[in-house]
Amino acid sequence: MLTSYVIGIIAFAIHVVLVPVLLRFSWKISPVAIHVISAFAVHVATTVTGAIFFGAIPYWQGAALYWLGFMLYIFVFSSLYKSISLKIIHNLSHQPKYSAHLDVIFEKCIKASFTARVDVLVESSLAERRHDGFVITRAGIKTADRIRWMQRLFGIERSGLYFVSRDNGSD
Amino acid sequence: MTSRFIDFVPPPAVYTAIISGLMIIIFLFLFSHGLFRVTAPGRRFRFAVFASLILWTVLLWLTDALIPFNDLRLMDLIAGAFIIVTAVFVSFTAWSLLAWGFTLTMLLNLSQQDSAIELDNWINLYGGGQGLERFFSDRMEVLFRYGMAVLNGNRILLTPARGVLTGRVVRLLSFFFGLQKDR
Repeated sequence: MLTSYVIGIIAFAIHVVLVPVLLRFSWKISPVAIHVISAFAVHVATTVTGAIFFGAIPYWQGAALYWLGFMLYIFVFSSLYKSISLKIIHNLSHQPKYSAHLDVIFEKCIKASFTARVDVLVESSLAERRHDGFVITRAGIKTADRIRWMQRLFGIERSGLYFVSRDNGSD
Repeated sequence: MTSRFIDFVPPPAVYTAIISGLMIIIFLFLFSHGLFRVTAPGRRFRFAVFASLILWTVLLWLTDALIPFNDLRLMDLIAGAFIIVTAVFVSFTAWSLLAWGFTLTMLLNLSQQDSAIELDNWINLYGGGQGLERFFSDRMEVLFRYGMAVLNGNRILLTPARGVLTGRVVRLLSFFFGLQKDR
């Protein structure tokens, strides 16, 4: 049974090293998709290799450890990749005396993040940039309807701000 | 299903953990409506996780998953705990997108418009019509609450210990993942 855990640890170590290497190449798929593809490939390869080398092994112990590691790893990556708060910290850490004017941080971290997300919506064909501004596409309407349905299902009245959401009831 | 090489049959501590982990989404639904509704999304998620842990404890007891308790059972229990924590991370990722998602809210704002809107108007719509300034103060509130940064007049600065240390860790990890160009 310990063998299963050891295989899980080795697999996770391989995934941890492999992902940053893969991310440095330019791909047409998203970085999160690279994490997921790498995770499945490494998991299958190490599980089969482990079974060939060590004989009969229980699957779940090593798999549980491996997928927990994967989730923690992708959670850290996603936070770095998308979190506005971490972007502010990252920007401030490059400033003299770790300090910056509010307007600078607003432009660099908030407005830039907004426009970057506008680009994402346009590139994924959910919104369209026209001469008179932005409009939602047919695919965008479908996606928005699905999101609203999910939000109704889970009683979420509005989304976006941490503290507006919390205003509905103190967290 | 026991293959020659790999035993895929989950022991009781593991399958009860899988069931309890999957139940987080059901508990979130139950705590979203009616008598059991928990209003704040963050607190609702914590309640769902707590309910899932209670369910796992009850299932462990009902299935005699830890009897007789020995090293093998302990290993199964640890694997079950890993599965529960993984389920918490997966469901929190989905929950945070649904409750606090930035891009998702932008799309919903745009979908409520009958005609084309300029970027500035779209920005103003964000955060319930109060624009990006409200969003900015919302994110800043997160940094202040966790002791990462403080305000000094019109300037924001990292706190000497926690803020600066977090900044260094963020820089190191950004380098590790090759994300410097994206920041």
